[in-house]
Amino acid sequence: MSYQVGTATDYSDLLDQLDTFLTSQGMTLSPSYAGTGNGTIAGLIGGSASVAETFTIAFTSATAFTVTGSITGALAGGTAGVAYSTTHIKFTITAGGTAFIAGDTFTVATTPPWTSKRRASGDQMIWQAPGNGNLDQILVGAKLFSNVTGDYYNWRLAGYTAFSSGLDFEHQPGYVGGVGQQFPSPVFNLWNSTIPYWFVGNGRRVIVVAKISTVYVSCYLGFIDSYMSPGAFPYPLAVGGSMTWDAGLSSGEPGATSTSWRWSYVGNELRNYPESRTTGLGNAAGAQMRLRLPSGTWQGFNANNTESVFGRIWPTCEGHSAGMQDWRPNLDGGYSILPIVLFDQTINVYGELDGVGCVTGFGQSAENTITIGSDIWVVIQDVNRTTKIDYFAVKLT
Amino acid sequence: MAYATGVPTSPVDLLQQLDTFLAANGWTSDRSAVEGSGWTASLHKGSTYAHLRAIVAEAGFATETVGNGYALLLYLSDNFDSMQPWVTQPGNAPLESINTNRMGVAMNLAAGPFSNYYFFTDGTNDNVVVIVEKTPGVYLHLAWGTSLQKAGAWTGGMYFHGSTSGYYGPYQAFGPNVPGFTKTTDCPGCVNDSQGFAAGFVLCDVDAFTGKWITIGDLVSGQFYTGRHGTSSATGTYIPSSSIPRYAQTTSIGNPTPFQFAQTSQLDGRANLLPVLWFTGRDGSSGNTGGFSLIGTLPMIFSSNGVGNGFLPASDYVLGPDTYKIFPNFAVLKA
Repeated sequence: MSYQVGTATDYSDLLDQLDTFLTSQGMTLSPSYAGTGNGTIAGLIGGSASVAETFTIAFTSATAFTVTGSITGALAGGTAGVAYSTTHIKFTITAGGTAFIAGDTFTVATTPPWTSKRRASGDQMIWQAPGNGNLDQILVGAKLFSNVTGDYYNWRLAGYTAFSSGLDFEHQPGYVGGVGQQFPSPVFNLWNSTIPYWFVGNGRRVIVVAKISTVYVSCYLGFIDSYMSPGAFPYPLAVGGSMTWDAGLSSGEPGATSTSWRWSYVGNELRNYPESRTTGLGNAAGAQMRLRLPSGTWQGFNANNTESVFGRIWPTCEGHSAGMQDWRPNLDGGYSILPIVLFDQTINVYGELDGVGCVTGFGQSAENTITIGSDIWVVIQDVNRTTKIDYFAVKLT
Repeated sequence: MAYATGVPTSPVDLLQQLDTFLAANGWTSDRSAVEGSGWTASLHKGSTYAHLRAIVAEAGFATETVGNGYALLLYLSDNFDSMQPWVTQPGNAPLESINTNRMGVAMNLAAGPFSNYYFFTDGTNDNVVVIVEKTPGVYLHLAWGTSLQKAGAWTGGMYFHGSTSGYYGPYQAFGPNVPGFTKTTDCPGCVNDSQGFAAGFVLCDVDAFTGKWITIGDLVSGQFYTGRHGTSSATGTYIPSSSIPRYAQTTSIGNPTPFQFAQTSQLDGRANLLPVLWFTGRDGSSGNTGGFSLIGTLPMIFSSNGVGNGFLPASDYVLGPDTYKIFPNFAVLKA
C-alpha cells in the first residue's frame, strides 16, 4: 500500500490534500521480494497513468534494475539509491549490507488513481475507489462540518452504494447515515490549525490519521478484508470515524454550536473506530465503526464483548471488557500485531480491517513504528487515551 | 506432509501404528517395545525426542496414583536412553517444580477398540498431530513438534500438548460430558484441561527462567507446575485468570456468543480457523504480575466451531490450496 506523511494547514486543507493524494496517482499494494540482496524498497506509490498491473523490478547488477509492467511493458531502468519516478510507478530502492545480484526481483502491483465524483474544495469530496484489481466501484466521501461558536472543525464521513450528481452529500444512494441521518454518520474530529497527518491508501480503502494538539484521531473509508466470498459479500464497505452519538436521528446529536463536537471532548463518543464506543449501544449510530452488511443494513460495531444486539470488534472488545492489560511485548522486545475482526451475534464473522491491527500499549507511545518482516506499522493511540489497551497500529508498507 | 487413518484395536495397537507411521515420515524410532502391561515408544527428529507410553490397566506419570488407567501419554526431552524406562528418560524434560518427576500430557482412553485414528504431519514432518475417535463422536488428541511458529526471536521452541494433563490422563471414573474424557476435548492448546491442570508445555527461555519448560496453565506453584506458566488465546472448560487477547471469556454459547464460538458464518457457511496463540508469563512477583508475552502459534492446529454448524466431524474442509480436517472444537491442517 502507499502512504504519505505531511502537514495540513487546517481541516479543509487536509481534505484537499487527501483528494490530491487519492486522485492524482495510483496506489501500490504490498511488494514481495525474491533474491540474495537485503536492500529495501520504499516510497512505493503509483503515478497519474497507473493502471491495475504488476510490476517486476529485476536487478541486472548490484545497483542496476529493470522495470517492467505486466500491461505497460518495459519502462526506463533504474539505479539503487536513486529515486525512481514515472507516471506509472515511483519508489526508491536502498542497497543493504548484502549486495543485490542479477536476478534479484521485487514484485509489486499498482492500482489506478481513485476517481473524484465530486470535488468541492472547502466543502466536500466524494471519491470512487477502483478496487485493487480495478474491478470495484467503492464510493466514499467526506464533508466539512464546523462551527465557530462551538469551536469545532470536523469532517462528516460517508460511504455509499452509488453516486448521483444531482443529489447532495447526505442523500446519495446507500448513505451510511441513512435516510434523513436516521443513523448519523461517523465524524472525524479535526481543528482549524496545523495538522500533521498520515494517509495510507490502496485501491480499496484509505486510512487517515491526524494529530490534533496532543491527541490522535483516525478515519477509515473503504472495504474491509472480507472473510466471506465475493458472492456472499460483494460490497464490504466500512466507514470508521472518531465520533458518534448514540442517537436515533441527527436531532439527537449535540446542537450545532455545542463544544461537544470538539476534538478535546472527553467521553466514549470520541474514540477511534478500532476502539469503537466500548459501552452499550442503543443504535447502530452509537458506533464509530460501521459496516454495510450483505443485507444492505449499516451495522454498528462495538468494542465491548457484552454487546448482543449490534456488532462487536475483536480483540478490542476483550481489551475494554475483560482487559488486555497483561499483554506485553514479545520476548525479544518487538511487538506482535493482531487483526481487528468484525463479527456479530447473527452469527457472522465479516472480516478484518485492512491494514489496521491491535497492539499492546505496554511500553508504547504514539508514532512508534513497528517492523515485522518487510511490513512497517505506525502506532496510534485512541484519541487522548494512553493505557495499555488504548493503542492500535496502521500498516504503512 | 503425511496423513493416515485407521482403526486402533487398543492403546497398544494405537501406539504401534503411530510408531510405524512416524518412522516412515521423518522420525527415527529409538524404541518400540513392551513395557509393563502396555507399550512404550520413543522417537526423535533432530534433538526433539518424543516419549510415548500406552498404559493398559496401569498408572502413568510418577505423580499420578490411578493404577488401572488406559491412556496414551506423552512428554518430550532432548535425549533417549534405552536402559531407562519411559518415565525417566534423560535430557531436558518438563519437571515438576518441587521434584524431578517428569510432567506430560495424555489422551484418555479405554481398553479399546476405538472408532478411528487420524495421524498428521506437516510438510517437514517436524510437527505431529494424533487424533483418536475414542467412541463415536468423542475426539481426543496429542500433538508435538520441534518448534512453535515463533513470534519474535527466543531460545527454545519444542512443544507438546494433549487432551488432558498427564496426571488426569489415566482416570476412568468420569461421568458423561467431561471434555477430554467422555466428551470431545476442548480446543487443543487451551489453558488447563477440564480438570484444572496444564495440558500444554513449551521449552522457552523467559527472562531469568532459562532452559526449562513452561506450563500452559494457571497453577503457579506445586507439583503440577514447572516454575513458569503461560496462557493461551483459546478457551476451554477452564477460564484463565490472565488478561490477554483471548477468544472467549466464557464457554457459554449464549447471547452474546464469545468470539471463539462465533466463527462459522451463517451467511455463507464458512468456518474461520483461529490460530491458537501461546503466551508466556514474564518475571514478576507472583501469578500474572509480570504480564505475558506472545511466543507463537501452534503449528497445524486451529480453533474451529465448524462441527455443529454445518460441518460433519472428521470432514475435509478446503480453503485455498490447503485442506483441513475439522473436528469438534478444532481443525487440523491435513494437506
